[in-house]
Amino acid sequence: MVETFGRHIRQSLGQLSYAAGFQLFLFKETFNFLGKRRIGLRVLILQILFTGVEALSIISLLSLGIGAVIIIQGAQLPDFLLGEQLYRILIIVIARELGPLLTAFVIIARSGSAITTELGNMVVSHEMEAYLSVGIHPVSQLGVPRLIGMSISMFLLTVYSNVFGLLGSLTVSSIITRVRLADHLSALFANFYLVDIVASIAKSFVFGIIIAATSVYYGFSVSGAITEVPVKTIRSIGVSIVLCVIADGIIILLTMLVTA
Amino acid sequence: MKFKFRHADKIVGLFTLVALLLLVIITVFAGVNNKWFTKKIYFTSLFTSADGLKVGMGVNLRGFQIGRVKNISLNADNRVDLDFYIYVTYHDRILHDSVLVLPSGLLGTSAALELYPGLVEGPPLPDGTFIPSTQTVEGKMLVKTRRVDRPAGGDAITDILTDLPEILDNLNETIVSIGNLTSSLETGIKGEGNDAFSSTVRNIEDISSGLDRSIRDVNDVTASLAALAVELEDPTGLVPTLLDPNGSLDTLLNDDNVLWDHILSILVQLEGAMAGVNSLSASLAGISPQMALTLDETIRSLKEAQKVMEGLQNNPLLKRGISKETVPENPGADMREDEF
Repeated sequence: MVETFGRHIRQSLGQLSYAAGFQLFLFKETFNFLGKRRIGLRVLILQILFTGVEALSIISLLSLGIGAVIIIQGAQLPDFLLGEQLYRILIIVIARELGPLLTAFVIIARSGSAITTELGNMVVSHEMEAYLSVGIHPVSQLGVPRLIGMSISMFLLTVYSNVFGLLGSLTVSSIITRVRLADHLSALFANFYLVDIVASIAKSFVFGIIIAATSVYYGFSVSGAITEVPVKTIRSIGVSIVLCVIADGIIILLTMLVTA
Repeated sequence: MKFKFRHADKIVGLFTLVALLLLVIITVFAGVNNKWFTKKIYFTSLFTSADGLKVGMGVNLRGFQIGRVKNISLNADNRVDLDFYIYVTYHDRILHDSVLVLPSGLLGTSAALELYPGLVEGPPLPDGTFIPSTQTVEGKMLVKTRRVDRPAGGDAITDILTDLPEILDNLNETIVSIGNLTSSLETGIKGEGNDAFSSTVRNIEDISSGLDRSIRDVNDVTASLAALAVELEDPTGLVPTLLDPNGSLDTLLNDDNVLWDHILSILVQLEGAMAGVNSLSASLAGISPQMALTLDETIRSLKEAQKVMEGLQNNPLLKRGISKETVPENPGADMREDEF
């Protein structure tokens, strides 16, 4: 039993070491990519197209719906729609928390799983060896554009998510309270602080990097069997969600420290 | 080739530009509404409690937001230090004697602080100046003495709400006074206190007991009168006998004032005696302080003598005490007493 436990620890440390090395290489290649941007630019554009543009409809709809639901549910509480607190609650819930996190979950389910599956299948079909045989590192060619594309898409989608979420909630609120939407928007902007915008942007970029790096890592970690692909995809989704929630908590703590 | 692949660059470009434009619009509008780009003048204030205060709450002047609360902290004296800023546009309104107020709303404290500018003409207060709040004595005095530009309330309810903190303070003081008075009354009624009320209660008790005695005396007099009435009703009693035309009283009244003159001469003699007694008592009263002094001195001397005696008794050199006094014998006397 001791031997099994020791072997398990050794394997875990080995995997952790490999993962750390892989991520370091991925980030190093990302900086290199920014220096010579023409390489893999097409992959980057297509990644933003798949991850960002194609997810816009579902993100917009989801954000509009959730924004409206917050107001409808909140209207049952006394004085919820009357005070200045309404705007702060909407900004904190939608712009700082729900917007980035909800977008991240959608991206994990849509694009993160797709990246892991795609890269896993490429490993199984020996396409990586083909890249290596012509002197192109597959991580640089396939991983880096996906990391950058996903981070940018995540940031842009978070902006859309926040806008649609706040618009949805304020529209429903103006219908219920019969206050003009313009007045609502004016009050909303008056309660929008710089820390809200910075926290939202920071979360979107961090979540994008986490999802992309995890998905790429698990895609490349398929060793040869086609049955590994769904297993790695499921693990990639789980790990991405956990890491995003942890990162969210850390950013909240940092924000509190900064604003205290 | 599918449309989206053919125009991928344009679609992604549009997607990115619109998002960035939205972000810029949000940032600019938030910045304009929050006056991020306006210069701010910082001031400090002091409150007794942080209830109703929060970072970021507005500072209003007659309903216009002219600044915000920057920081709230508890100082070493358990008071609340408040840092706030005023937008430079409104700096010229912050004059000497300005006061900061936390208004009371219908549902607790208001969402914004109110600033009452001072009425003193002059330059505006410089950066970092202390502006008192109405939770401090200085601020209360400025408002009470009407040295601030305080807006008149729109209606009675507004006026009451504006004065509510002061009214509550006064009410608290009144309640405390009533509490003290109640405890004083309790101790006073028990007669345990040392204040005027307690002594008055004790005096009333004395007066009551005196009254009881007087009522008993009155009762005695009433009983005597009743007995006299009974005597008067009795035809063989003492009073009718005295009042009889042939009785003693008639004899006394019809003796040509012989008895009366005699009584009068006795009274004159008594008056003379009384005058003598009076002069004697006056002279006694005159010498009584001297007598008292003499007595005091005698007592003091006796005490000193007692101390001396005690000292002598305790002196180790005189342990044997005072030698016994011997009475010298008188042989002559003995001889005379001898019987021959």
